[in-house]
Amino acid sequence: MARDFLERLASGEVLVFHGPIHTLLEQETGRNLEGHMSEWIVNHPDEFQSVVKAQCAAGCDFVTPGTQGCGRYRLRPFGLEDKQYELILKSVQLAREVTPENCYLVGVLSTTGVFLEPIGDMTVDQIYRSFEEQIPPMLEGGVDIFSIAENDTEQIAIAIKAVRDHSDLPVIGRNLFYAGKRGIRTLMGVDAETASARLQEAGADVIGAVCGDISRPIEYSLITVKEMRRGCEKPLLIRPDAGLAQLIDDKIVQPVSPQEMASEVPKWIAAGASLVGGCCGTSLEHIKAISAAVKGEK
Amino acid sequence: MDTLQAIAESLKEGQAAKVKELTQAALDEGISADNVLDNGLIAGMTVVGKLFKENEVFLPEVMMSAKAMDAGMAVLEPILLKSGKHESKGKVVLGTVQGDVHSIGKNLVGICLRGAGFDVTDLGINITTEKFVEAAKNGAQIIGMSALLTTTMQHMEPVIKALEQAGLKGKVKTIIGGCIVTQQYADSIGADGYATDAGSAVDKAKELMGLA
Repeated sequence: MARDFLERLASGEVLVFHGPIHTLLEQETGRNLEGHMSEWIVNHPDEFQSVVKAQCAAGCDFVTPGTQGCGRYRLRPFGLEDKQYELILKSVQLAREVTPENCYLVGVLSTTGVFLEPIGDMTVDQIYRSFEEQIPPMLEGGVDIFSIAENDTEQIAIAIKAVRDHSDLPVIGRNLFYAGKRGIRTLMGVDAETASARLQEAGADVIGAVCGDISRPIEYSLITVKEMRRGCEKPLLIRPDAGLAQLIDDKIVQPVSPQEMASEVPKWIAAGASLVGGCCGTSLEHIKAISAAVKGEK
Repeated sequence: MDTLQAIAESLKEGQAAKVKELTQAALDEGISADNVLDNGLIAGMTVVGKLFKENEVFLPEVMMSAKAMDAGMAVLEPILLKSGKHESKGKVVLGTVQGDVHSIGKNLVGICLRGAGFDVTDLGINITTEKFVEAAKNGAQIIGMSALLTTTMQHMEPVIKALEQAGLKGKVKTIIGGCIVTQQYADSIGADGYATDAGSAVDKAKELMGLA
């Protein structure tokens, strides 16, 4: 299963990445998630599994267990650090139960929320261990692939090493980029080409751009794909959010519509993307439109 | 270059040890602690905030400059406390709204506001309406709210309404921010201000305090 993922990409196939679990859970259940999302997921298994199934039905080739908040520094403010193994394992198992045969279950490693010395107080060793300890419950739960997104490209590199030290499964490294006066860069100031080159050097199997601020306007996402391609030769993932939200008639509306996002898909593919999707604010409608666009390109 | 300019320069370069050394040197020269704070540390940090706003520097530079500022402040604080004279530009309370755990942007805002001479209390992440209102009742002049998810930005309006109900509208100002927040959203929920980044937050806070 995991082997075949990289082979499919190598043969030129384009796959649809999973949607933003927090947005989708709240949209589909019509409720605010109280407290820590993973604790909510474990306490509401039926609702979580129904959202997983809905995403796959909409065309996603990947399933997320929603574990991006399960790193120790993220669990600490909620007093959940000592429940880490259990929260990750149960989330992955719940997702595994409803992952269709042809879809991939992603072990989503948590963002750390902290910074390496000298900018912050963390050592490389501490960051490494905080990623390493998330891996066993994910392997036990049966993930097919690992994925890590971080604001600091160096922390992604550390996570990739932790994965490599414990598993042969493929790993997707994802930067967050922000469009500004000096182009498309991470929060740390690294441009997309350099950040992608760094991840190739660090051993990522797939290199991507998620979230951040590359969708106002949505054309920035295409620029990001092109810059990533200049920096590396690996399969590329592009997963921007649906733009800046606006309050219209008391409803929060994201300006990048499903149709607009879908019309970018052929351009992303032409520029080198093999995995496409939407991040914060994208809905099942966006996923359906993206999936249709991918099928249209076949 | 005089000592105060040197302090500002070293702060911009993120050189904590140098800033500490120069701060002491300035005091030894007879420059008042207030003057060193305003025209050395705050002057330097304000420039950093502006450069950040213009994308000339990024998060690492802001955080290194903040450490340099802290190093200088450690030298000045005992003296400032004793004289009790130095007034802050205003009391700001920051927080990421209920259900949201993103903090980087908020932390940078705190750094730049402190760097500009504001008294900043950072409540942290996942802050309820009640906690924001309590902070306002306890003397906050500006409430700064951050949200990064469409699902959590909806918690901003209840805070603004609660402040109104508590009779604090106009007395306590609100500024909102976060990647998905816009000026249009701020206007539609009745926030007093919106800022795209930490540097802009300083400008907006000064404007709301009548200091621009």
